[in-house]
Formats: sequence, C-alpha cells, structure tokens
Amino acid sequence: MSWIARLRGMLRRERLDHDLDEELRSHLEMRAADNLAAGMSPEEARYEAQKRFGNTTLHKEDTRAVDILGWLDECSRDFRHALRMLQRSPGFTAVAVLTLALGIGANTAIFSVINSVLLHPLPYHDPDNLVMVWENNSQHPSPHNTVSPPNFLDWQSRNTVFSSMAFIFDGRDNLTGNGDPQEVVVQAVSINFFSLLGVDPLIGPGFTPENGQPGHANVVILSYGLWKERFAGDPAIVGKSILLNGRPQTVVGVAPQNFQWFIKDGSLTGAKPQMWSSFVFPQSFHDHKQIGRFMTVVARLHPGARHSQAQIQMNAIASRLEQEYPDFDGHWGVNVVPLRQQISGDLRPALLVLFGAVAFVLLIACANVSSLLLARAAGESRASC
Amino acid sequence: MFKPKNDLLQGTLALLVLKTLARGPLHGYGITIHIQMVSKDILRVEEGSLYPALHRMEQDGWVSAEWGISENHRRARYYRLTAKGRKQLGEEEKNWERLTQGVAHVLQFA
Repeated sequence: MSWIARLRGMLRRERLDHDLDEELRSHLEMRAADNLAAGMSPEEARYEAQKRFGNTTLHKEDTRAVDILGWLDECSRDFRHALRMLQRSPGFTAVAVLTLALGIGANTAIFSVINSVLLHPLPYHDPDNLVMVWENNSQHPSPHNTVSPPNFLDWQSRNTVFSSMAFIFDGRDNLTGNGDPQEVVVQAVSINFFSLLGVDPLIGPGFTPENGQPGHANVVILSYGLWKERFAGDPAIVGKSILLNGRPQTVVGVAPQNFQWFIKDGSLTGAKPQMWSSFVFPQSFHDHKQIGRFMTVVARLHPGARHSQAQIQMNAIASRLEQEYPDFDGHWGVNVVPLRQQISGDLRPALLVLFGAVAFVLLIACANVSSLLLARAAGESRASC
Repeated sequence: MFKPKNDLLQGTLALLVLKTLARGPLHGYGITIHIQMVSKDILRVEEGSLYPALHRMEQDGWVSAEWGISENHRRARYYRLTAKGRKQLGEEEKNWERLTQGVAHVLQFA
C-alpha cells in the first residue's frame, strides 16, 4: 500500500533527504561530464548543467512534498468514496453507527467515572504522601481498626518517618442558636488536622496553635455546605459563637468548597462531616488502661520517606508497645495504608471489572459491525453474479 | 472532462518514463537522455521536475529504486519498472491512444 510507503518516507526524513541530495548531485555531475566531453570548459559544463536542471532546492522541496500531497490525496479520495458508499445504504449506516456509538459511549462513560474516582486529584496538598494509620489485630477481622489515643501519642513521639500525625473521630451533635435545633455531623480533630492536609480555610484564621491549650479549644470550622445552608454564607459568622450540645463554640473558619474528609472505615456516623471541632486530649487519654480504640489517624510522610519504610518502622514501634503494654497492646499491630488506596480501595476492583466489561462491549460492537460489513459484501457479490 | 494543464503534462511524463524503463533499469539522468534522443530532441524533460514524478511513481509502486554504479563509476540511483508499473504502462498507453484519437477526430471535423 502506497500510504505505508509514504508514511515510511515521512518518518525516515533525514536518510531520504541525504539520498535525494546525492541523487540530484550525481545527475548534475553526469550532465556536466557529458558537457565536458562535448567540448565545454569545466565551468561552462557545470553552469549549463545547473541551468538546465533548474532550481535544485525547489525540486528537492517538490520531491519531498510528494509524500504529504500524495497522502492527502489518497486520504480524501478514500474518505469521499466511503461517504458515498455509506449514503447509498442508510439503514446499514444507521445500524453500524448506532452499534459503534453504544460501544464507544459506554466506554467513555465508565472511563469518566474511573477518572473521577480513581484518578482525580484529592483536595489536599501532596496527597500521595498522606497515609492512614490503623491498628490491626490478628484476631479481629478488620485490617482497619480504629486507634486508641495513648497509642496515637506513643506513635507520635516515637516515629521518625512521619512529619506530622493527626486524629479524627466523628459523632452527631445538636446545633442550636441561630435558628432551629439541627443535628449535625461533627468531626473532632486534632489542631494540626487542616495544616497537615495543607488546606487553608476559605475565610477565617482556622485552627491556631493556641487552640491546643485547654480553655482555648472550643473552636469549630464549618463546612462550606453548612455555612451556605444554615448561615446563609454570611462571612460575619467568623468570630461568632454557636452552641454545640449546649456548649458554646467559636467559629474560626469555613472550609473551602471542594474540601471533604470522609473515610468510611472508622466512621461512627457513616456520614460526611458538616463541621470540624478541635479536640484536645484530656489527661486520662494518656493512660493505656483507660481508653479504648475509637479514632482514625492520618499522617504525612516525610518527603523522601516511602510508605513501605513507614510500615516497617511502625511495625517495630508496635511490637515495642506490645512488650510494654501486653494487656492492652498484646497481638495488636499497625497497618499503614496510602490515602488514595484507602479512599478508592473498595471501588477499585468493581470499577476495573466494569471497565473490562465495557471494553468487551466495544469489542463485541466492533465484531458486530465487521459481520455486518461482511454480510453486506457477500450479499452484494451474490447479487452482481 | 477537462483536466488542468499541469495534470496533462504530468500524466504524459509518467507515460514516457514508464515506457523508457520498460527497456530496462535506468537512473534519472539516463531517462532524460533517452527521452531526448528517442524523441529526436522534440521532447525535453524538465529535468528537475523529473524527480518529484519519479518519487511519486515510487510511492505508488510503479517503479522500484536502488543504488548502483553508473557507466563512469559514479554512484547513481537506478529505477526499474515493477509488475504494477508494467500494468500501469499498458493503461497509460491505452489512454493516450484514446486521447490522441479524440483530438484527431475533433481536428478532422473542420
């Protein structure tokens, strides 16, 4: 097929240019030699040869252009021919187009879903360095077990692989003041939660280190949705007080519109948060015998540290804790899970199966169209016999 | 169907080149010399425009080309007619016949 030759021509540009140069030069030399033999002087011979040949550069360009022009020519010819054939049998064209459209459409749809679920950017700074840190127990079924505060504190003080760690636990609270009482989903978080994620509030100062002091900890950040619904998107809400379960909390910020934090594992409410409140550990939380496992933990890896290194170090820390607190931490280990995997882990296998399925649908659509074409070709040849 | 002037000349050139190569492989310069000689100097191939035409014929598979050594020991690219080219030559010759017949008829009809 000549288009292959053309394509090859266009791809082996340099060698063909060099060859063409040589060919044209040898033509000129041969004419010059003939002129010389006919009696002209060397300068005359060469001059006449060049004059007769014409503009060498132009001819080179024209020769090169043959590839593209020829290709365009062939393409447009084939295209017009195909269009004519399709117009002649509208029914067939409709069926073929529909079949292909269904196949392609399904694939596009599923890939859009995959793109937004598995591939989309998470609304946090440098999300590939974020990991969830769970406890796990060989005797308990869940690999993502919630974490106990004293363990969290030990992890925090003993690790060298995380630049920071934060905790989250959620619950439902009664929001009163500024309107009807409303039950809201609140995530209690450590002070560094937003700064660990690298998220600045939309308005307001957000959590500051002094909110970590007892007495200054009654501060909340509203979700964008709640801010719009209940507080009419009024920026004056920052600095005002609201009542959560009867206790006054100061609003110090509103989260950005695209910000969300919802990890299904370890969520007590199973619902997306509408508010984040700062939480400071009371002294009792430091005691390994008093407090159960109810928090979820997110950590940011040191730049350059990898998830596997973190897992190894946390395993070591966990086994130390096992020895130090055999009753509480016996048989308990640590499971470090990259955030992306945590979020889309459940969906991943299902989506990949779906993707495989629609890929097959497309394959079937192509096979159908091919058989239609074959059937038509066979039908035509029989008719013309 | 009225063909633009360029097309007509290009078509003729292809015919002449194919017929020339039917006698055996030649390089580009040799083709111009042959046509000039055999046509008793009536037809002079515009030398530079020979090469784009040769390239096109090569792309279309009517001729194949390879490097060789010329009579005076120079490196030259030799073109040879392919089977497809031979068939194309037959087509072009037939078309030329019809064209000249047509023109002759019109001229005779005075």
